[in-house]
Amino acid sequence: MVNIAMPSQVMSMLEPFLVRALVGALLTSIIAATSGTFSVLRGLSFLVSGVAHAAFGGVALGIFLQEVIGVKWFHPLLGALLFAAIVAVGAGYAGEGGFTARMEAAIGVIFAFSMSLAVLIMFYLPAEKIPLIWGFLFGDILLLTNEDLFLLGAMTSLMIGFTIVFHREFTYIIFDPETAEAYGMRSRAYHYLLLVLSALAIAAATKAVGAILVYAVIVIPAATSALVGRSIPSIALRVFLIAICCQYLGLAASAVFQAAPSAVAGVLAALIYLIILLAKRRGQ
Amino acid sequence: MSYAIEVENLTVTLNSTVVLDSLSFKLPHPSFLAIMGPNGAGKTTLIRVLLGFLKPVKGKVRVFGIDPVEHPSGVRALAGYLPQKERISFEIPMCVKDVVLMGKLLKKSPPRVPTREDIEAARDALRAVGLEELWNRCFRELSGGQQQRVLLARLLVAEPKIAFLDEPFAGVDVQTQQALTALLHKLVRERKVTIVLVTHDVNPIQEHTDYILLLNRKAIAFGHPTEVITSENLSKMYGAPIKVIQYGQYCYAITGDVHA
Ligand SMILES: Nc1ncnc2c1ncn2[C@@H]1O[C@H](COP(=O)(O)OP(=O)(O)OP(=O)(O)O)[C@@H](O)[C@H]1O
Ligand SMILES: [Mg+2]
Repeated sequence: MVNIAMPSQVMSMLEPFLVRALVGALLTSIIAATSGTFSVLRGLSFLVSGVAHAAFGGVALGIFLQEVIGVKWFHPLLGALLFAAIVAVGAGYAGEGGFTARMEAAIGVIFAFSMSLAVLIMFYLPAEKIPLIWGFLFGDILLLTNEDLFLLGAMTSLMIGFTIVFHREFTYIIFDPETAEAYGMRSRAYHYLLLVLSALAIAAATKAVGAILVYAVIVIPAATSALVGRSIPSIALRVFLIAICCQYLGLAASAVFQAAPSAVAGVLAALIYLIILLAKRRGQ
Repeated sequence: MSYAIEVENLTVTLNSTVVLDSLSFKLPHPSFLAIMGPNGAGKTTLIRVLLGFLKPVKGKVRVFGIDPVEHPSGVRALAGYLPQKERISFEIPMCVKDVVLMGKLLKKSPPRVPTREDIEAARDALRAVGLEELWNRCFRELSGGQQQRVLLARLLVAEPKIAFLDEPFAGVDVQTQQALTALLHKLVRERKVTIVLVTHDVNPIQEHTDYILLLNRKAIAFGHPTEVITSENLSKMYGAPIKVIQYGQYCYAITGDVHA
């Protein structure tokens, strides 16, 4: 990954790309606190990398449709969201009734399928378009466009809105879906709702930080907090704080050392996880 | 007489194996039914059919006259449920109070905001199972037996007309089992609730039950405990000789190592 930030640009805090990066980091931290927390608590952290890589296939398909077939309206990001939704629905279908292992397997299948599809499609694409696809895997928060931010903002708002209204339902289906259903709650609907919302938000976050680092920014803070949390809201708050601190430190480091901000954030998050895990093990 | 449960000729298959085979019984309301049977006997399956989670291939099922296959929501509005341990993710961090409140809030529609009365009722339920002091504790940090009692409180607070408890006493000491069974017994008598409880050990609760169903794919026996708990029935159900000893009007199965 190449850091494009020039020292002269970094001097000025009002540079638009920096503002976009700060806002992007804030929004991805909110996605980490919601989608990340629920996925990790469910034992489904694989959803994050599954969605990210499936979205990669979706982008490839979108570019293929636009460039080769000539379907101009099919924006590559639409492909990313579509494939993210397919992962969510596929995993949800496989895991109805609370079978996490089956969900993981289904995610793996769609992950592999999307990556294969992307590789196949790249063969038919004009060479100058290939970096566009790879760009999705190695996204850079300093390269965010207004369009990316808009998508990220929209998905974050959706996720926040639904979580505020349905946080109890989401908690219940993770904790004890069968009782929830037996008392008349529509567990199945919330099961799919949570998965699809999470997947869409993760796909948007992937565009911001890249498929590889989205895992670092979303899963590691959640995995860390889940080690010590006593309630879901307290875990979500801690996820947010860890995610945003790591990302802002990453951005600061990128200004000073010319390092990739998401990579620094990922390293920091992993270190925090390690420290908490060691502390927790020693305390037992 | 009004029946809480009517089951006629019920046959259920899962993955094309017969799990319940021509089962029939009628349970008057209100009463206390204990279901016993070896692993894989179909006990959980029966409860899942009664709650409308599974469709039978044959036979008639009614809960308070409602067909759970056609109108699951009708049955679920009246039901309380404590699922078998394996169904719950105990490692999810939840406050005890939030677990208990689930029983109240699930009966409301979203956004399910608890009222003062809901919170009072939840506290009362937790007091009833003897764990009021755990109100603010983290559910996953309790002992297994305490967790089962909290789940029982969650069921109590829902004020069901019929309650299904699937092995609620797994990991609960015998003394607590008796206390909780007495509590359930009181619900049957005073609040007119029908209790359906699955257990592997009927000895500590027998005196509180009105009916016992011995199940092993088919109904081995159904009736009052004094008629059902016999050496013959138990041996038939487990497929191995089981001795019983009589004490007062009840018979008790001798399980574990027995030296004559
Ligand atoms: N989802 C399923 N798919 C296929 N078969 C199943 C399923 N669930 C249960 N079974 C089978 O149905 C039979 C009855 O299962 P059930 O869970 O009702 O037994 P149980 O009496 O509750 O046993 P336990 O005492 O172990 O809880 C078992 O043989 C089991 O293998
Ligand atoms: Mg069972």
